[in-house]
Amino acid sequence: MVLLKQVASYLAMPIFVVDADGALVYYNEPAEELLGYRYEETGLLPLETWGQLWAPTDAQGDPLPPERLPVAIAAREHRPALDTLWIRGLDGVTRRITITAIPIDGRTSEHLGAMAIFWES
Amino acid sequence: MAQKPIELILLKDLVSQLGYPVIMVDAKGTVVYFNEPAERLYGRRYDDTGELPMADLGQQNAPLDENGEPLPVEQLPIMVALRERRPRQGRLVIHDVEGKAHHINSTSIPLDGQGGTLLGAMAIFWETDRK
Amino acid sequence: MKLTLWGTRGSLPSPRPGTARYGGNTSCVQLEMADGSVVVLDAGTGIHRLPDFSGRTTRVDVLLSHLHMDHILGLGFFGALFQPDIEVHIWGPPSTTLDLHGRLTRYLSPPLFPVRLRDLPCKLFLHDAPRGTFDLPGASVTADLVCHPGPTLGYRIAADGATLAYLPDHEPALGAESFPKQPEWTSGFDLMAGVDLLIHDAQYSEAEYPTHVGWGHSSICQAMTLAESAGVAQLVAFHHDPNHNDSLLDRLFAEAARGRDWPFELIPAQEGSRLTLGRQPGGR
Repeated sequence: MVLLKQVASYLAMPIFVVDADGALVYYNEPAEELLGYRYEETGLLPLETWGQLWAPTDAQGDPLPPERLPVAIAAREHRPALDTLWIRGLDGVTRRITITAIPIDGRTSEHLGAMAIFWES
Repeated sequence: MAQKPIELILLKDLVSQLGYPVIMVDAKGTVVYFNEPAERLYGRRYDDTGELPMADLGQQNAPLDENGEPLPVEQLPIMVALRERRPRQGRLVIHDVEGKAHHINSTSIPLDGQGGTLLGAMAIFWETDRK
Repeated sequence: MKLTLWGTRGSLPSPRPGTARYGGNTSCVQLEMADGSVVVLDAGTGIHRLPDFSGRTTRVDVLLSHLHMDHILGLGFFGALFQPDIEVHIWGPPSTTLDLHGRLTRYLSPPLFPVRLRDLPCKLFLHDAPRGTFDLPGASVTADLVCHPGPTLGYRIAADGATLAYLPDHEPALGAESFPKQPEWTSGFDLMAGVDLLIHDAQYSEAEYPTHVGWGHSSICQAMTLAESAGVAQLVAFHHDPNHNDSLLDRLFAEAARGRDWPFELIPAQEGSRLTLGRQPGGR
């Protein structure tokens, strides 16, 4: 996880890191800009809380429950997940975002969580 | 050989510790690293191949698309992700050195460094149960 | 190029009788080029010991490796900032979201500091250091990101026919299955390759490092291994742990150097010590 945070801190894409339960344990500076909060302000956030911060919806405009977010799928089902959804930022603007989430599983099968990378479509 | 960007260095160290196959290419599409699970999938060791063009790695493993048609290198999800600078997911079939077919899901993401620099791309492979 | 090590301690200022020789001030190195140009590396508490530049120069450049407190704690007490006839250029690591002014202001503003950046008498210029090579008066500088928590730069400085690399906080062994790694896969390698003098993080003993993996620092032996791999001529072992007193540091460095011939000169950093590289001031 230390290495993952280092990697995330140097990449320019918004990156969120969650633990095995989907709780948000770290996000980098580009993610802070997207979220509207600094990591020092929020600290660890449970999935049910941070998953709703941007009111995610699917293509039909239906709300997406936290457990359907790609990062939750990656963390809980231990497989990569990719999806496109709409979120409302703190500026009130609705954005179409593609989220790619990959599980962080070690070579001896220890499951640490997942990382999600956001792209504004 | 010039030092790799720090982002790729750290990512390589991370990828080397993951339990599923991952390959990394640089901004030119050269394969700069693939981890141990990827070595088992390809049946080749990175220490033996070193860096190599994606075309060489792809060609030797005869990738096929979902319909069983040969998949040109430029259509591999990782190369599409690199070229179009967007994530790409796809299903493909690759063959190891013994000719055994592996049905895999590939999730590929471009890697952007600070200042908008394109560093490369990485692909995570997941074998499906489909035969 | 003349170097003066004004602060050699890492993490926390550690002044006490037992640290008098290696020093208790945190990271700060003064460079003076043959043409009189001045570059300061980091602004730890050691910056307070820099001489008065009034009348000696009209410009000082401060290169910050990163913004952890031990590397900026002395900035508000840097005399040149309070001299109206001096230009002070501060260079720091880039950020994707906030410029250097915004990040420094988090410290140099109330309630943490009574003086605001905008109220400083000097002519102040803040720069996000580019990744790559740029010129300063009297020197050519190459900057690149290195392995340490948070955006952190290492610097390579060429001046007066000599080269110096400054990587005070650096953990190139993080995540490595074996160390040293291949040069092209080693953080900071290009910055330090073949330099006359490398100033590098050497905070921990070998016994301490395993319980400090991921903290962003190197052991003494890792620094030495890296220096050998990079082909440097001299290694200044820097950023001493605040818990290490003088006698312990003497022992650690003696142990590290023992047992084999190293192809470089090992210089344990001591506060106040001076070194000279290349052409000297006055063209000598």
